[in-house]
Amino acid sequence: MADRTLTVSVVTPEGAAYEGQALSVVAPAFDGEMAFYPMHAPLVGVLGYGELRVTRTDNQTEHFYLAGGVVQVANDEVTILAESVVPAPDVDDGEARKMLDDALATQAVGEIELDARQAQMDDARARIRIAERSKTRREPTAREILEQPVE
Amino acid sequence: MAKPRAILNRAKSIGSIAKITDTMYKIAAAKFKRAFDRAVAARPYTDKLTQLIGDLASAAGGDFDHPLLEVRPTKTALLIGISSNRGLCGGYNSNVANLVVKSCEEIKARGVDLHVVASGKRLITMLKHKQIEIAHEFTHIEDRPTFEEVDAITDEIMERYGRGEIEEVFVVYTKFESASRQSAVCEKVLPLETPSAEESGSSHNYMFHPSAEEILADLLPRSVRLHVFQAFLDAAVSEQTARRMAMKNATDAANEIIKDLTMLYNRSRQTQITTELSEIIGGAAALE
Repeated sequence: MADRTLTVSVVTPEGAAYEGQALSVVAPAFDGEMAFYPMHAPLVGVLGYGELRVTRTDNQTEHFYLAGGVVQVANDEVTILAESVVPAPDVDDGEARKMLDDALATQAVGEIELDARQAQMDDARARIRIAERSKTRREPTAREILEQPVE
Repeated sequence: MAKPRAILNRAKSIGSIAKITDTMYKIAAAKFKRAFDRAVAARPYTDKLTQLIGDLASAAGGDFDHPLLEVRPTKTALLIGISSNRGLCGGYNSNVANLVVKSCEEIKARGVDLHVVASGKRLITMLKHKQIEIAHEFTHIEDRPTFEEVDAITDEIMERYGRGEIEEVFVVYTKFESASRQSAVCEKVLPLETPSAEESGSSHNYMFHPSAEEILADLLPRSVRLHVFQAFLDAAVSEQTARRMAMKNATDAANEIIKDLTMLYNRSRQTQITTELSEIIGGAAALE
């Protein structure tokens, strides 16, 4: 088990956003997060707006913003089809806030418009969340590591 | 015979034209490489999506409905024509324009209303010249179409399709088959063909989250967007290839003409000298 890894490919219409081996993948499913480890059962799932985390074989985690898509898992291969994938540090939260305000200000009538508005709000909120998380995320300083309580 | 000086001037001006066309050839070749890479980059996504739709269709047992699959009696159709903003690329733009005109006639012959959406300045002028009404025109998509730009167009069309304003959507563009073969084609975008539920190679017993039908409902609009995006990418690659060929031919023709003109110049110069010499000799002989 320990020597098994996942082959991950994240593809968009404009090319591959990530390709490589990974220890685990956490993807934003439409109803919550889903994690995949090696030997996962074959699955096809719909993804929503949220954060995609790929833990590489060197234990470093890469964060992406993902705006919906589909994930397919089989034979330790994780394939994610998405229309837009942005590395988390590149997510612009100012723009996302504007998007959210826009969505909140629009008056939606009918099911289609309501759905579209909800999607825009979800998208904007996910972007803001990821941008903020990505700003506060950093490597711990040497002092912090030293001052960590020893268990 | 023309004056040698005039011939030389012509050869010179053709030389500078050749320089320009040669530069355009080189630029088109470089742009072609980039456009080609982008078209190739989209391929894994297309393949995966098609495969996944096939898998899901077989899992759903070929028994599902979706608004995008529904064939409704056609009252209004929409046609997207894709060409370039720039000329000097051989028959590229006129091929697209001719096919748009032909398709328009065919669609109208069925007694169907038609809206034409045109992308590219050249196509817009050509269609206006042929007196075809254009409902929407775009000129902002250049040789590097991004998914977002194209998506904005597709989104609006799908929305109108969803509201029942249009029943059929076609796209006319230049399909890139190989570096030496591109042809203008007219493809139907909507309604989608029902994906065949045939047994595709995969034997995995997938879990579906949520159900296969719902995933399919999520994927079908994506495949429409992709179809249109792919059309724009193909058009961009074809444009650069067409320009590359046109400019190569132009440069070759210019060099050929320069060769002929140089020969003509030398010959006429010689004739002139011969004439002058015989005049001098004739003059001298008359003096004796």
